[in-house]
Amino acid sequence: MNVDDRPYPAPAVDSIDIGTETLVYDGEILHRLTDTGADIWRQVDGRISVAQIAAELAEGASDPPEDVHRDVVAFLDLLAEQGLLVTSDAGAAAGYRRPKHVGYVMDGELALLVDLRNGRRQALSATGTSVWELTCHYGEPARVQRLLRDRYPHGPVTLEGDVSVLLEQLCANGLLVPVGSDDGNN
Amino acid sequence: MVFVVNCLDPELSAYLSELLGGLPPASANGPPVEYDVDAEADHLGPPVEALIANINLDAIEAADGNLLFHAGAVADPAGGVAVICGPSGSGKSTLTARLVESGLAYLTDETTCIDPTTMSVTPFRKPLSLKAGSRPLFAQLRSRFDATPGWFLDDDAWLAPYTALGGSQLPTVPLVTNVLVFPEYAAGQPLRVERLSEGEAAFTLGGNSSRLRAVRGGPLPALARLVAQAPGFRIRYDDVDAAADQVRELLAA
Repeated sequence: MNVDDRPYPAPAVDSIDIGTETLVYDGEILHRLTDTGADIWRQVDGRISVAQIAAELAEGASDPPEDVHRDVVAFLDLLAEQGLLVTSDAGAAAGYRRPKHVGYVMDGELALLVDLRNGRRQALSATGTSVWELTCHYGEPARVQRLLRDRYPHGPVTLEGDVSVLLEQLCANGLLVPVGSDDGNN
Repeated sequence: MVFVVNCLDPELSAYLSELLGGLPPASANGPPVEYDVDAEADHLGPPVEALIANINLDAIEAADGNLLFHAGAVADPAGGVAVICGPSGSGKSTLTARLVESGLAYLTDETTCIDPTTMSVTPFRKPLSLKAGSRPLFAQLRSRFDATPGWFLDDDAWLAPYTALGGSQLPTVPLVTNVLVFPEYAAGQPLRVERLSEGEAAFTLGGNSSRLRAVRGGPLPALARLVAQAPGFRIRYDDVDAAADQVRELLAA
């Protein structure tokens, strides 16, 4: 990882703080971060660079700054190797993700999304639910479109366009946010 | 999940009724799952073990969306539940069986089902599965099965109805997890009890979960709620009675 990289959680990854620790779940494996590892994770939001993270940690550390920097980079590289982090140039987005303020309930194959900030709800059709689930897992619209086309090879010619429209709508309603952005709670 | 077991042999049928008696009768809204047990087999152990294994797997699938832990569970009369969580070989079934013998209500010995929203525990009173190494600890079970040689006294495991161990009736109040226990059997080691941080307890639970991805509302908030409600303890033990005493103390605390 380079000093100017601004890492952020991979689209399929969810995390939660429990006390001073953080659990990270990528849909398959559960990871536990403690102490400094948890502190670093809380800063990887796509806006803060690797250099900034290392500098902030070095301020309170007894180790030399260059050692802290090396350890931070090694840790972030490890998280990236495990598929928990991705990097982007400042401002570049690699798709969408579910923000923390959005909950969901499954009714069979249908998803009901709820904005926990204001109670606003949106029920999705079966196809819409597939789009939403694939997006939450993979993030990139192009990949979601490909996977849906594989699933419905004889689907309408407008399928890819419909996916884009739905994702934009969900984003406009605050039920998805671009990867690398904050949760839009400002 | 509602199921029916079809068996033509009267003796085997009676035994299966006792073995499965902990699972309550229910009416099915649709066709129940049917299992046929072949009473013609030369050795009854494998068909019945296969039956129990299939019931377990189907029940786990039917419980999709809940928190499902590789754990035993027992309850006190007030509905407080001790979840005894660990991989195979950790001693959880043996410890669960001993706790039932000591008077706690049997909920399950293998897969504990917890609603991710209400945190209520759903009993699954399947037959207990006890490994060969734990058999000397349960003399009353041995005497039962000595009376019917050839039924499940194989080298791997016993299947025992929980009723053979005693234990109290299911509480009529909601079942809520009060304590999380992570047993570690360690021959020759003194008893050691270690309080876990909430993060470690949640992580350990998650590592002993099946179908985590399917948990309604996401697994992480559910795990966080559970460990906020119930403290977690790792118990390293050699003597199952000492471990059981410790679990009862933690449950009563």
